[in-house]
Amino acid sequence: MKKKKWIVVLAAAVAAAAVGAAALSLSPMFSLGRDYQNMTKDGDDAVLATYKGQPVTRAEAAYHMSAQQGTITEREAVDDILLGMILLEEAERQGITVTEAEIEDYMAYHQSVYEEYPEAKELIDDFCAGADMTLEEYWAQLRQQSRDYLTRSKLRSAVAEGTIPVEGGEEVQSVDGGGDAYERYCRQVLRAHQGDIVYP
Amino acid sequence: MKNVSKFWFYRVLLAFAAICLGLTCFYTASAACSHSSLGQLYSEATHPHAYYRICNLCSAKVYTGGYATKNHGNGAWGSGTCPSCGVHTFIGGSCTSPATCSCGATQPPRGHVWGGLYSEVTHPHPYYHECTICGMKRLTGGYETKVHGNGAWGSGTCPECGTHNFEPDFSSGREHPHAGYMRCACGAVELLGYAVFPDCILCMSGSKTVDIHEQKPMALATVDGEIGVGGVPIVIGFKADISYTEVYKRDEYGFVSLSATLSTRGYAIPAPYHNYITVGACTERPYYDNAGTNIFTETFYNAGTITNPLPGEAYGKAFRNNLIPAYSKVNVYASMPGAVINYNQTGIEVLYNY
Repeated sequence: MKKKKWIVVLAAAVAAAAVGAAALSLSPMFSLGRDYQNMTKDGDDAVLATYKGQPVTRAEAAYHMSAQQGTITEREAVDDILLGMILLEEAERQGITVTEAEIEDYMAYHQSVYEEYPEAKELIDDFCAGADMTLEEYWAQLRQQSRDYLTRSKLRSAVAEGTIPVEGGEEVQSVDGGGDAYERYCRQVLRAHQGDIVYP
Repeated sequence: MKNVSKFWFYRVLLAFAAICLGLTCFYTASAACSHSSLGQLYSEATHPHAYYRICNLCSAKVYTGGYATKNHGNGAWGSGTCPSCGVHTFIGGSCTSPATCSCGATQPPRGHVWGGLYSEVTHPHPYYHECTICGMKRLTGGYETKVHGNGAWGSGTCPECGTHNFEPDFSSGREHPHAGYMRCACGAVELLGYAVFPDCILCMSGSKTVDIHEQKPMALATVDGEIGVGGVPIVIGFKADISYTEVYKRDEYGFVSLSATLSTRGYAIPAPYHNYITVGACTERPYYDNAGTNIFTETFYNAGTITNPLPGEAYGKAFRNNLIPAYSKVNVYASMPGAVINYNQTGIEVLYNY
């Protein structure tokens, strides 16, 4: 009799686990986590382009395409990643820096979001499950990329505010908070650094 | 045998001689009569009806010359008619039955003469040809489909052909309770309902106001903003600040919403995300009954213009519905271009107390 009970409990647990796994596998964040794991652990190392010797691999391009929900081509993904590298260099050239305090604020905000917003917690947990990483590893990775992100964000703000000049005519009326000027700035720096990009 | 033949031969001879003698005497006598006394004038019964008189002396017919012309008829004795005199007058003939003359002669049916193609005025309008003589109709098969309309003669319309094309008509709705109708060209009329005018004192009478201010958590996720370089996704949490006001009431015609305004914005969105995230009003405005069934849905209209859109400011037009909702849902969204989780929706419940 006791054996039967255990069998029923076990079966229910297996079913619940299966349902949970199915739900996770349907989540976009879980799928993105899987793609992240593919990129970092066993992704395709084929080099699609280099900027001043820094490579952009097929695995990185594939992850970026996944993050953009398949709305861009591989070549566009490569160019986006190259642009990210160039923008960091441009930000440094413009004297834009990020302080440790800013990084701490940034991390504090995201950790509070995780604590206070159940929806946000669910999204992060789904990603970690897909990427097979712990929450601590997630925070460490976020901290590592925060400097680059904040640097580019400051650069964007500077362009939108007009601190950094953009070639061509002035925008008469902004419809997206200076996004148009930033787009033009991005195209401008990409053109300026074409000579440093190599597509093998 | 010879004696018998002789006997008959002499007898026949004797009879013949007697007849010849009689006739000779008659003609001799007539020819000899001067017909000085003649009787009444008669005409022969047989066509061509020669005139004659009877001699009073010798009883002989004395033809006077000329012929009588009788009325055309069947020639019955004493009728004064003759089938050979005059001409036939056929009467009573039709396309399918023979015409007859008083003399008894008949004329075969003339047959139909079919005119143009027509269709019956009454639905379903079978096609037919009409005989131009007797008016008889001959169906040709097939039916005409007329334009939907009132069916007035000559209009080429029919109320049963086609389908109704109702057009709203509020021309009679200026007076409270502002009845509106749907009218079709065929004359069909349906009550559309009762309009609401927020500037009408009677419409506003007895109305209540629901006023709600709430903050709802939302979350979006992106990979390093608009330029992805292969990092872990950033999850952005913030609150949607929602303010909603609706003036409503229930009257004998149903539920009335006199005005509704929704204002929403992202609250506590840190820089630099505030530049990328849009918080706006959802267009749909569903209403539910006590059982939680969506009984009807109205629309929110965004304020602002194309060059200056205000997605967070929306208003609902005044309306009336014969169904009475227990509550409605006012939804807002947050979106972020290029993000992994680029859309999120939340909302508030608006309860109605009547």
